[in-house]
Formats: sequence, structure tokens, C-alpha cells
Amino acid sequence: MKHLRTRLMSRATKRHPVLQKIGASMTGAALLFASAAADLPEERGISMLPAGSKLAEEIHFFHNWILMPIITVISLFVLGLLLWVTIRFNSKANPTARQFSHNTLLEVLWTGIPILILVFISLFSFDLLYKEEIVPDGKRMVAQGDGAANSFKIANDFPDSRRISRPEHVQVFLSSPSGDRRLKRGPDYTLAGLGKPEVTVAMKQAPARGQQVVVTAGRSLVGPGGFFGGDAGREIALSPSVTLKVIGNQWSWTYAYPDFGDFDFTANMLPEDQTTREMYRFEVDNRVVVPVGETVRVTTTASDVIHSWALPNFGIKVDAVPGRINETWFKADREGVYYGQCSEICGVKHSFMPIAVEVVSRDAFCNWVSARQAEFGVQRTDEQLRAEPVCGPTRGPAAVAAAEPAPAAAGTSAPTVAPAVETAAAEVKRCQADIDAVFAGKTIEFASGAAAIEDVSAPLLDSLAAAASACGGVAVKIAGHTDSSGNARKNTALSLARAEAVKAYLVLKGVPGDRLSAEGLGSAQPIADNSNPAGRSQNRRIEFTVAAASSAQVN
Amino acid sequence: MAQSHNDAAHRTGYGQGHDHAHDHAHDRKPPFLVRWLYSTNHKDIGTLYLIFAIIAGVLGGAMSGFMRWELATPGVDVLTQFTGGDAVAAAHFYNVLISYHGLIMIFFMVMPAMIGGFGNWFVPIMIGAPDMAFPRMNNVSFWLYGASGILLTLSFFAAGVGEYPGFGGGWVLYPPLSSTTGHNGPAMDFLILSLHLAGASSILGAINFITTIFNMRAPGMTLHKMPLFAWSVLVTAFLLVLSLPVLAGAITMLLTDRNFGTAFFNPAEGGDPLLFQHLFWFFGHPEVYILILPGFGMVSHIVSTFSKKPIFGYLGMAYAMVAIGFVGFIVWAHHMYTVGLSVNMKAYFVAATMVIAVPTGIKIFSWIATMWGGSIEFKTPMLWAVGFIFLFTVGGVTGVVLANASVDHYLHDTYYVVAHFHYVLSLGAVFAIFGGWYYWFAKMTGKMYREWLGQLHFWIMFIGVNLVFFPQHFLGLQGMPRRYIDYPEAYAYWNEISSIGYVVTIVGMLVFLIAMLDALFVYRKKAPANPWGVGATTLEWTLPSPPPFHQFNELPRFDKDAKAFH
Repeated sequence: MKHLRTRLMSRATKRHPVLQKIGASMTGAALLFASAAADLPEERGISMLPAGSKLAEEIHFFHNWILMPIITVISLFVLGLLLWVTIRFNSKANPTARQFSHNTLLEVLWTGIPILILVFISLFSFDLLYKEEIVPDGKRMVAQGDGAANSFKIANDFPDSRRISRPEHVQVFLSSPSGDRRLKRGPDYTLAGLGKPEVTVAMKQAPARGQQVVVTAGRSLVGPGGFFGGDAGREIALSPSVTLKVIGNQWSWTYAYPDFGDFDFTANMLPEDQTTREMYRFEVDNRVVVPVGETVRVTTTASDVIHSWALPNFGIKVDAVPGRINETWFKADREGVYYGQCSEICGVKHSFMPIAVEVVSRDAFCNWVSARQAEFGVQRTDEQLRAEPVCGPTRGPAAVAAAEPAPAAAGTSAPTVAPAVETAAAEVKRCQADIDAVFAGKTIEFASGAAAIEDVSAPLLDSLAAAASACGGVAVKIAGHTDSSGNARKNTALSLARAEAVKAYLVLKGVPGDRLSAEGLGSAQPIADNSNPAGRSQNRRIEFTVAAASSAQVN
Repeated sequence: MAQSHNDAAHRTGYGQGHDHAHDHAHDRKPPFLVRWLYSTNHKDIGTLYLIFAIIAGVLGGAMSGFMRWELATPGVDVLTQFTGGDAVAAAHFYNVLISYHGLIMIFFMVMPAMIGGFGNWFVPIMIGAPDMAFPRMNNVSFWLYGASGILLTLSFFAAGVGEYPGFGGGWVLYPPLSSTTGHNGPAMDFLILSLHLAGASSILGAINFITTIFNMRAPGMTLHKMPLFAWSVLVTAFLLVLSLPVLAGAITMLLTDRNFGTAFFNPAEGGDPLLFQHLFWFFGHPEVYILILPGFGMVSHIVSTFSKKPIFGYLGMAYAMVAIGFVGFIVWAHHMYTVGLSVNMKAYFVAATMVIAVPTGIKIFSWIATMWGGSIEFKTPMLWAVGFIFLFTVGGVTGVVLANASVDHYLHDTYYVVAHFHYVLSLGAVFAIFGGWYYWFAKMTGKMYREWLGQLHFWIMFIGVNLVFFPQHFLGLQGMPRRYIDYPEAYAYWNEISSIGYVVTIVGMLVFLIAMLDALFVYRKKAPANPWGVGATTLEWTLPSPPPFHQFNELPRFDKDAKAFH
């Protein structure tokens, strides 16, 4: 057997697509589910906000399927007993009271059974708690297949308490041009040396040339399953690649990126007149941007009084205490914008310092970082740029020139950017003209009240895709609008869903997804009178706006 | 069953040579001012405490009314009416309301009602004692409460932040928000002094109860025969004596930080804000058991009385309270899961906290077992007691959810927590207080209330408070943080329902006040010594209603084989 020593790849190298749970393979429908609106609270919602990470899914599982059923059954049991004694032992039904006051068996049972229930709860509780609290230390190795090697070694160089010792601490993926798949222990590979300094993955079949073997190892196994469901839905969280410094102020949040030259900016809540009714008190002027699929370390502190940084979609909440630095982590599985609110009373504007985190693709993140570095005048040598996590290899002078557009700016007051260079401005103009020409006199037809695009609009969309593909280095904003009839909240959600559907279609047709952004504006920006059917028809529309990509300003 | 000596006190008024002050006319009451200002009589002091608690409860309830009114719809548009349209001042006013609502309800409503009111009234009678061990100290502890209330009122109106009056940092008083960083005005200093006096009052009261219960039980009444309400007050008194000094220490440190340049909680000079939180919750967690344990005692009596059965598992009930009291001291940091404790520390506090569910479960099931096989009459006090058992269960099980730090990271400081602690306190402790009130109203006043009015009060309140607090679970699960004057659109629906529930609750409170005024001034039906029949076995039912100014001049005696008095 020929051994091929795997190489522990630098954290800064490009992530393998198998761990990027988002990409071109996603269908339009899936993209709709990933829209930001779905992650916000709902008007009559009664359950936890949608999970944005595996860890949050596990919290949901623990709450929704362990705790909730148990407490519901106990409450109903007590209620049932109370109703029963009310019916059976009221003074009419039972005129003579019995006088017993002891029953040893019962007393033992109602002491013992609750203890068993609590032990059962704690089986899940402690496991989950340690996962939430211990910042993951998982590592990832990639080996190129050569058709012969079928045994790969992993250095088990974790601290003693974190050493990989059980089969579920290792996950193996096989990646080839035709796709990625997770391998099964047993039929596909076996493990040897668990708990020893070196663990060996022995594949039943040597990976072919052109295939990659990706091994993740570590104890931070997150996701629901485990006790009941095996580890099929679980993944090993890797050690953090990005650190986000969070500083609570009265009454705003300051964010800093120590890995990228420590630039910082402050996020204030958007005033009422600069955002939609639904997003008011959630939206901020400067969103935090983090890459999808990367473990993000969050450290918090405060400059005046105690605040608390909360992101319910990721199940995290960590106080920002002056004089102390607290730490937590999250790894977003889906792109989107996630919102939270300060969760420790901090004075008069406690209700008005929300948290908005935009999760974007790796490329979009790196472009955003470049733009911010330029904006804040961060001086980085090429060497420093290349050493940056996540973005390093794509950075440096050559890489920057080819960079793709930055993510959509937040709300209506985008982070300020420097004036566009002339060539970019010309490109924007040309591109907008092209798209407008395609659109002239046509509309995209949707099924009534839904986001499904009617077949008749396919030729129009294909032309739009062609026009958009021909535009280089610009960002295209797809904005959905509705008329003013019906519920405003639903209108906004629908307009966003429709914009997302158009975006998904264009992505399927080959337009790079991170060049496009979708936005739902509901009935906020009518172009015609909403009081007659013709005007309302004009107001129901999709608009394309071309803007310079912020990467154009780098250098 | 032990012999009752209800009339013995009357017949043998001259029998007790040592009590000369009262020998000659033991039931002659002092003139009004002397009676109520200098009072050393445990029943009069209990009455004063109850009146104090009712006034505080109305004020604290009105504050929650302003809060629910503001929260009924999104936007800051109600409290601005009190601040001349200044939205920032309104936001501060809201914070002040939540802070004083909490402080008033805890320190000036539930504690005075349960311990000062019912405790003073009935512990001496239940254990067959003529009065408390230190009657003069009893008077001092009541009037310290009065002084404390005055300081609290001053604090409400004194400058808090800049020009804005009052302290707006929540009842937990966390620095640096409560230090000069967050509140530079004197409101916080007044508040600290107010809590000092309230704490001193409670400590004096607790010493009085411990001494009374240990030394003045009637001959033959061993601790294991003592009524459960006396047990509950005994455990509560120990919690008070052990926890309040820690609060006093913490707020004194805060006072010196604010005024004398110390830096216990100031990180810039080597202090640590979390030290305050540890000290506060070392007091604060036992405090929540202080609020509920006397309720446990009262509910036990009510359930036993109206089921016409002795309490099931008496010793288990007594020692469950002891266990809850003990474990209550070693779980404090479950209020602090998000402050940055180490994971092992959190794991310990998760385990310790969940343990409390076991003795609490014993109590719930023992109450049900007491009812089992009984011949239950659903008079008003029993309705409150049964309501208490169910709602306390609901509040208790959500406590088990929150005990898990892994889930608390999601739910901490959301409305789920607000729902949880109002289910155990507003629907638990307050239901117990109402139960006790209706149970002992006839005994204390000598007059009966109209049964249907009492029942109407219960049902309206039951619907109202559930409407207020049950939807708050949903808000919490949807992520709405607590202590927010304004919230995003999406939370509007459940907030509106919650505010509607408040209106229903207020109607219930009006029925309560009408029922009481009716009983005292209109209905005026004279109460017998024991209106509840064979189930009411404790000593207070052996005395006339109301009891004589001084009871038990000849102490009741219990034979060796007498059953426990419960």
C-alpha cells in the first residue's frame, strides 16, 4: 500500500467547494428560501427564528424536539391531574374525604422520574453547551488522487482533551469534476489509529487522478443528530479563519477586522425615513460582512456600559463587558442578511442599536474587504495581503484587478465609497443602456401572487442574461416592486421573492451570482398612481440598476 | 388532633402573671395613633404591611400599565405624552418604569405582603405564640420599610441621567450603567439607600421570625408538627438573613464607587463589573425563592383545607422547601450565562439549577395528591391555589428550558425570560397572595366577602394574566429582547395581544377592589371563627374572627401523639 502524506493546507488557501454549501448548483427555489426576509421574525411567529448554522440547527433540535415536548407533556399531565381531581373529587362527586397522607411508592416515583428526565435532558444539554462554548479546532486536509494511493494520514496533533478518538471525529469527502460526495465509513473507507498521534484513512478504492480527497477532523461536530440520528447531518466545524472584533457603545456597535489590517467602522441604526417599515429598528447603515462557510470568531467588549451582541439565527448572544473580552463563534451556512438586537439594557437607546450581519460568498467578502481597506486607507504590503485569511491567495496586485463586485450595499445608505474611476463609470453607463434596451416595453410576468416566473417571459430573461453577462466589473441590483394593495409586509416579501427569482434565473443562465443583488421594496416606490388598475400594473415591476462594483476603486 | 383552646384565652385573661401591661384588659386597643404608629402587635403590624403592599401593588401595576400601553403598538408614542414629546426622555422614562416596576413588585409588594403581612399575622398564631419574639423590633422593621419607600419615591423623581429623572437600568442595577458612567444623577444614590433600608428591615424581620419560630412554639409543637406556612416563613427568613447582607455589601460598594472614588466595579481602575453581578445574583436568586416559598406554605394550607384532607407527605413538603432554599444559594450564575463564564462553570450551574426541579416537582405532586381522594370545595381561595399549581408548573418547566445554558444563549434577555418569571411570580406568587388573602380575609377582618365576586375576580385575572404573559413566550422564541420601548413591526401582533391581556387584568383588579369594599362596607356579613369547616385545622381557626388583640394568654398544648398541624 502506497502512503501519500496529506498536507495540512494553510487556512488561507481557497476552500474546497464541498464545504461551501452554496453555489451555482442551487436552484432558484433554494435561493428564495435563502432570502433575508425568511430569517426575520414573522408577524404571528411562535417558534425560534430559522437557523443559519449547523449549531443553531442543533439548538433548535434540542429545544423543539427534546425540551418542548417534555415540558408540554409535563404541563398537560399536571393540568390533566388537576382536571381529574376537580371532576372526580369535588365535594359533590366525593362527599367524604379519605384521610391518607402517605404513599411511599408514589413519593419515590415522583422524585425518581423527574431525576431521570433531567438526566435525559442533560445528555443533550452538556454536549451542546460545550460545542457552543469551545471555539472549534477542526482541521481540513486535501490530497490529490493519483489512482494509486489509497491511504491518507492525519496528524492527531490536537491537545489531549481535544484529540480525535472516535470515528465520527473524522469525515471524508471525495471531490471530482462531476461533483462531491461524502464517503461512508465501512463501505468506502476505514479508520485506524484513533486516539493515537496519527490517524490513517484507508480508502477501499484509490481515488482517481483528478479527484481530491478532503478530510476534516476534530471534535467540534455540529448539527442535529448524534444521539438519535447518527452523524449524517453533522459536520466538523473548522477552526476560525476570520476574527470579528465587536465593541458595544452607547448606542452603536463598532466592528473591527484584525486579520485585515484592523480597519474598523461603526454601525448605527438606520432612521425611520431611510428604510422600510419592516426593516426599521433592524437595519443599520454599515452591516458587518462575513464570508459564508467560514468559522468566524467573535470577540466582544464595550467602551462604556454592558451591551450584549445577539444573533438569534445563529443561536449566539454574548455580553460586551467593559474591561473584559468575551468570545464566541459562528459559521454561517447560507448567504443572507441576519439581524439581532442589543440584549442587555444599556441606557436610553437600548432599543435602537441593532445588529446586521451580511453573509456573502468568499469572493464577495474579499472584495468588500479590499474596498474597506481602500476606504479606510489601510496600508498593506503584498506579503501581508497574501497572509490574510480566506482572501490571501486571491489578493495582491494581480488578483485585485480581477476581483469581482462587492456585495450589495445595505439599505438605502450604503457605506460611502470613493468616486468611481472613469472606465468603470463608462461601463456602468453602457451596461445600463444595454439592459434598458432589452427591457424596452416588456415586463417580466409572474404567476399571480407568487414568485414563479411565467414561461412567456423566458426569452426576455434570456436576453437580459446575455446583456448582464456582457457587462464586466459592475454590480446589477434587481429590485422588485409591487402595487399598494394588500398587506405591506407581504408585498415586501413578495417583491423580494420575485427579485430573487429573477436573480436565480440569471445565475442559472451563467451570470455570476455575486454580481447580482436582489432587493424587495414592496410598494414603497410607486412610479404610477395606485388608485387605478393601469397604474397598479405599472407599479408591479422589476427594475435593474447598474452600479460600479466597489472593487473598481481598489488601487 | 390537638385540642383547640380558642376560648381559653378569653376565659383566662388574668392567668399570665408576667404580662402586666396587658393583664387588666387584654383586648383593650390603644388609641388610634399609638396603635398604628407605635404598634408592637403582630396582627396590627401585619395589617400595616398588607396595606403597604396593596398601595405598592397598585403603583407597580400602574407602571406595568404604562409599559403595556406603550408596547401595544410599535413606535414611541405613548410615554412621549409625559415628556413633552421628547422621545429620548420617553425612552428613559420607559427604562425607569421597568426598573421601578420590578423593584416595587419585589421589595414593596410581594415581600411585605407575604412575609410582613401574612407572616406577621399568622406565624405567631399558627405556632400558638402570643406575639412575635421582638415586638418593638417588629415595629422598627415596618417603619424602616416606610422610610425605604420614601427614598424610593425620591429616587423616582430625582435626576438620574442628566436631566432625566429616575434610575433606568433595570432592577438588577448592573454597573457601569448604575455607576456614574451610566447614571450620574442622585437617583441611583437614593435607590441604593432605599434598598439598604428595605434590606435592614427584612433582616430584622427575618431575625424576628427565626427567633419566634425556634423559641415560641406552643408546648408540644415540635418543628415536625409545625404548620407548613410557618415552615415556609422559617426557610424564607434564613434565606433573607443569608442573602440580604450580600446585596447590602454589593450596593454599598456601588455607593462608594459612585461617591468616594473606589473602583470595585470600574474596569478602568482594576475593578470588574461582573463582580457586582455575582454578588447581586448571590442575593437575587435566593430572593426569588423568598418571593415564592411563603406562597408554597399558603397554598399547602388552602389545598388541605378545601380538600378536607391532611397535607400529603408533610415532611417531604417541609424538606422540599429546605432543599429549594439550600440549592437556591448555589445556582446564582444561571442568570449570567452570557457574561463570559467559563464553560465548566456554566456546566456546573446548569446541573445545579436543574436539580431544583426535583423538590419543586415533589411539591406540585404532593399538592395534587393532597387533593386526590378529597372532598374538594372550590371556594375562591381554592381556585387561586389550583390556578397557582398549574401556572407555577408552566413557569417552572420553562425554567428548566432556561436552565440549559445551551438554549439560554438564544433565549437569554428575551421575552421568553419575561414570560417565565412572570409565570412563577406574577401568576405564581401573586396568585398565592390572592389565595392567602381570600383564605384569611374573614379571619383578619371578621367579615365575609361575597363568594361570587371572589370567583369572578379569579376568573378574570386568570384569563387576563395568561393573555398578558403566554404570548410573550412566542415573542421570546422569535427573538424579541426584553427592556425595549420599541420593537420591529414583526413583533406587533403578540405585543398587542399581551396589552389586551393587561386590560382584562385591570378589570379583574377592579373587581377585586369592589369585592373588598363590598365585603367591608356593604355586605358586612360577620365571619364565624372557622368559615371553612373540618379541613381548616390550624390554630388561627380556633380563634374568633377577627382574633382578640392578644391571643393565647394561656398557651395551647399538644400531646405527644398529636398529629402535625397542617
